[in-house]
Amino acid sequence: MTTIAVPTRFRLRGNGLAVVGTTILVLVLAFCLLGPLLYHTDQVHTDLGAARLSPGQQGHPLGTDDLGYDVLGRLMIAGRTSLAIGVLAGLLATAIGAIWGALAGYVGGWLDAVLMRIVDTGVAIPALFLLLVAATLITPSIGVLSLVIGCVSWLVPARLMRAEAATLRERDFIKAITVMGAGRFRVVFTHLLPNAVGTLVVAGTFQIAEAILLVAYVSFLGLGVPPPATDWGAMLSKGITYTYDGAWWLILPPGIAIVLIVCAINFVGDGLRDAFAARGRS
Amino acid sequence: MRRRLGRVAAIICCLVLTACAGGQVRHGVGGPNSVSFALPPSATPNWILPLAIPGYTASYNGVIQSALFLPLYAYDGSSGAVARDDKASAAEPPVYAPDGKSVTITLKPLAWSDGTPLTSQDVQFWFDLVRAAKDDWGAYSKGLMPDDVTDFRVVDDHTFTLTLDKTYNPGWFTANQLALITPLPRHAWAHDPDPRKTFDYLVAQAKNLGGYNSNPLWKVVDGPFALESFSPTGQVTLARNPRYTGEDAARLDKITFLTFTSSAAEYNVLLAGGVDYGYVPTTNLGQKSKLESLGYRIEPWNGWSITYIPYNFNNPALGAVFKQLYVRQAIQHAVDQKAISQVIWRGTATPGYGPVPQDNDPTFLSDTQKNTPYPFDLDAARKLLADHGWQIGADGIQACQEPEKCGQGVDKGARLSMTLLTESGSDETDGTMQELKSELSRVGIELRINAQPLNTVLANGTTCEPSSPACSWQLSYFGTQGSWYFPAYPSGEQLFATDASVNFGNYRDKPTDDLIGASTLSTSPQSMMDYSARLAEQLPVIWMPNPPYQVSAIDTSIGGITQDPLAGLQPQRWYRR
Repeated sequence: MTTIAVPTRFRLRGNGLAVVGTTILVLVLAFCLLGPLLYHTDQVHTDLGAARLSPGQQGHPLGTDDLGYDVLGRLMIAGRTSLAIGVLAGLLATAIGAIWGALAGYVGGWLDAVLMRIVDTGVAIPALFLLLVAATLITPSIGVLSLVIGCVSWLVPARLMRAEAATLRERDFIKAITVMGAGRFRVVFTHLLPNAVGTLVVAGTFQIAEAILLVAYVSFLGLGVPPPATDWGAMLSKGITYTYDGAWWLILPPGIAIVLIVCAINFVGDGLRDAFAARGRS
Repeated sequence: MRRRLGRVAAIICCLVLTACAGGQVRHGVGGPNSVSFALPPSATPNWILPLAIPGYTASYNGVIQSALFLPLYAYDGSSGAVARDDKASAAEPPVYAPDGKSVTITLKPLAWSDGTPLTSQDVQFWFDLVRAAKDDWGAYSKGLMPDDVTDFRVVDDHTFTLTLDKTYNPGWFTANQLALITPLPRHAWAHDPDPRKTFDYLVAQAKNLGGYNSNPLWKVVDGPFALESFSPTGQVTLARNPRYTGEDAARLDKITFLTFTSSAAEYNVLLAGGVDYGYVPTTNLGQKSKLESLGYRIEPWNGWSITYIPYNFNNPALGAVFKQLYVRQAIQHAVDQKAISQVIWRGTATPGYGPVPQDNDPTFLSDTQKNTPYPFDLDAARKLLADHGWQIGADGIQACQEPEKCGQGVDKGARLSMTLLTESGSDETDGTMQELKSELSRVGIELRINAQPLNTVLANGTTCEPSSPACSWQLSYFGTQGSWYFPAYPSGEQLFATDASVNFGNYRDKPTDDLIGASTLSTSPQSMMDYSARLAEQLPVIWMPNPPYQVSAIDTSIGGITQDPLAGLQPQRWYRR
């Protein structure tokens, strides 16, 4: 296996957007994970007496929502939910897709045909439709939503990995270990997947961004995590209701947060792709 | 120069005329003397026979039926008091015998649209059909109409006498029993000498929605409107009945009932000016000024209704806990009805503390209910539980520590943790549930919210035996669509009497049964007041704020609209200014 961490880090430094993305990512993570430790709010109990306060009123820097929750504090805990689901679902989708695609690409033949036709069929079904059906049947939670989003998002990584595996299996070192008697699963898990790590890392970052958007869609349609838990999509959905009240503080913060985090992760993904591409050329 | 000035003047004139025309926005989809009316979300009319079978009793069907077929007695509450609407009734006021055991009714000199006079035989025809198929009639309750009428005697073509099985409160009997009767055109509908066969025939014809436009059965009407078209998707158009002979003739040429899959869909059409008389989802009330600028006036339509969350007293896990009055009192103390009404419902809902509608006619409202014995008071709730042997455990949830104080059937260690099955998809319901969960948690009561589509909630939250798997529900809330709308007399024989058909929580209380019985028999309103007070104190359910029937958006050019709390429309009185 090749050590990739050091050259990639150095190459990211030279990529402006990737640096911006990483910085935003770190700041958002700090905001969501460390923020509640410094800025204490009650995000469990409602306070109807303080509902829909505009920013700055009664000690609420970003105002309150329709049930009296402090919007700044809510943005932090909502971010935890969105990021947790995004990361878990993104990793799960990448893992499933990697194994599926590696098996298809390496083994080839009828197994490749069967596995990839399943992928083609899955791609034809809108993920959002599957998500809505699942969210209706199962009570949503962070674990359930991560699992469901992960299980409907692995198709693209599977295609990428299949193409990568089909290339790698023709390489001499794979042929050599095959001749030496290594089994298919040993080849896939010990040699093929580690050598496709660049593709997987890039695909993973895009999957995380995709999952954050998907959970926002589902929550926007009212099928997200049950209250008092929330996520940015649910906050945005609720805020839209009050557009004509002029309650911009219920719309802009979660909207900006979603845009920022998705852009940041995509910038990092682009940077990693460029870095791995450069490593491949060298 | 003069020519240029002329052009400028012409342009200014055009602009002025355009501006003037812009102030009078024309809405709707029909002609100049017509009105389009938006039905509630997902409401699809599917029955015009004024003898509904179970599953076809929706109020929007009733609105269309009463425009085509005059009920024997109509009621209206738009004046502030619920009273008989004589202009919309087919008969003169009933005359009860001094002993109260019979009632004589005289029909008005009306005629069917084919010219045949309306007679006592048309009312007898209704009785014959209902008696022959009472178990298939949607409004049937054992012992009530038609069982409570032992004899029907025709006095003459326009007068008949009903003999009753006992002496009833005339106010209740007229409002809740006689109002169920609608004269039917015997000469046109008597398909078979056997009334049971005729009933089955009419039901079969009524189920054929595609035949509504052409079937001659539905052409014979006595109401102010006649059916012009009926789309299988639910859009219905009524046209003025030119052969109407009563005193309440339609002033509009046409009225079109529009259907929508959701309130959001309706609202979008409303904003586009496609509806004359629609509704505004509560969450969009912030757009009131925008709607007013579009030529609508915004008016809440309060209902003759109550809203509540039933306890399932037969639930194996929590039935014994719910039977303790102090537990119900503690829970009621944790419901901040004023805040929910003002903030979540934006002031359109009204707090309700008992079994009688509280925001309309106060005739039957007791002071006990009006002033609520259990106002929002979390300290009082905690004290009630502490005084009865409950303590908050390490998990923050109340647990019974002294079973001898907790009450009969409550074991040591029992926890106040309950699941509420509720309607999903409504912002107001979601907000109400969050508020309820939050306040109960401050008392140490855990409320788990299980939001499901309304049909699932309706199907699951029904009466059950303790041993039945269907009895697993603990609390049930039908949400914004689940208020109970009363007939003119808001007695509780269907809701809180032992084994009543809509007593979903299996509430049993002998004094309540006695008061309900008295309210249907006694002429004194005191029995209703006593009933109101007792159930405000006994809390057979969690009393909740009562939302309006809808917040209406009405084209300002339409006059004659009174928003009847009984959910009636009386569109014959609407007109275009």
